[in-house]
Amino acid sequence: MIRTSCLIALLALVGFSCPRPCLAASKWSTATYIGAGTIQQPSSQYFLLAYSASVSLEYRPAKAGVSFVAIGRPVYSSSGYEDQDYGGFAEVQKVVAERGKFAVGAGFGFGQMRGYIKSTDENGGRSDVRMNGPAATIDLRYAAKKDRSFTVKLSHTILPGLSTAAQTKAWVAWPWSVVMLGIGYQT
Amino acid sequence: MNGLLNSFAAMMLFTAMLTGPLHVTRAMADDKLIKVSLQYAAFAPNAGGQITYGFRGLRNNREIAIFQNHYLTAGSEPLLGALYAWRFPICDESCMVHIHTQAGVGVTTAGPLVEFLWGTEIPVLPLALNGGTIRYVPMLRFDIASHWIATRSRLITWSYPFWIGVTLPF
Repeated sequence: MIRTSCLIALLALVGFSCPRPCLAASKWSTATYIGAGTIQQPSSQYFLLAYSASVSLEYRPAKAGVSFVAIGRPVYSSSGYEDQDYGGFAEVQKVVAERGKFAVGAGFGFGQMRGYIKSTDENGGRSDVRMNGPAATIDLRYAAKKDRSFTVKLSHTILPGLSTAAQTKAWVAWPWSVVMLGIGYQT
Repeated sequence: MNGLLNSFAAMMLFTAMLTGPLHVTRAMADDKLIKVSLQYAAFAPNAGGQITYGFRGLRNNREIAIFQNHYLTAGSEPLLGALYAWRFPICDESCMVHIHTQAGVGVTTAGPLVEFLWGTEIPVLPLALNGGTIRYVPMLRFDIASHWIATRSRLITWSYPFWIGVTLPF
């Protein structure tokens, strides 16, 4: 307990006592993106409207960092039923190729997708789904401004959801496929 | 416990003996390494997964591949395809576990194809403890792939979660 307290105190001391220039802020950048695109449910060939928001922290010298992404789609209602999908994932991301204002980024991580379908009848039932799984993303970025503060990003993510242990043993996975066109601001 | 430690030590010694003659420099790996991969099957949204044979060859981060998917059919025959892909290493040949992403274009018996792939290659022996891919030492390959095929009537997508295979570098 004491060790933990000391560690926190030390981190606080380093963080707050250091003059601003020595925070090495230039080596780190943060970015926020919002996007819209399509999502495909597992084994479905329908492209459904979806939206996303993400924040990321990047270590500039390595052009790598972490990204946290939330995705979802609006509730769809038809013929007495409504359904929705939403979820999120965290990824380690890295720029793997760069030419001029364009860059290709790749990410690996882990996340969870949730969804439901329910009857809109008064006594209608509801079925929920919740699956964890790895997430993999490839994206193409375009720096719209010279200082790269404003970026347009086209990304494709696959999140194969794993259900029960029995299903996993039977080689069953439920992949969500997401394509997003986003705009972002980077500090 | 001692037995376990002795076994581990013996394995490390054996590894060290083998890694000497088989050691490959990073320059060799980057410039001249060739990898051949055989893929067998992937997970799918049905019991038993999907039988998908793949044969891939890589040199200088360019990969050519042919594959056959017995889960998908074009007409009444299993889907057959070939593609050319650009590999972007995330953790390159000098890493213990090689991680990469790829983008490729090709053709299938159903129409033109675009592939996005994320892959991991893991040596089956702990020879890579000295760092890097070692020639002639097989690696397990796990891919997550996304195929976009433009058929005559519509654009279809198909995913290959955990596409399992073996890679031989030489």
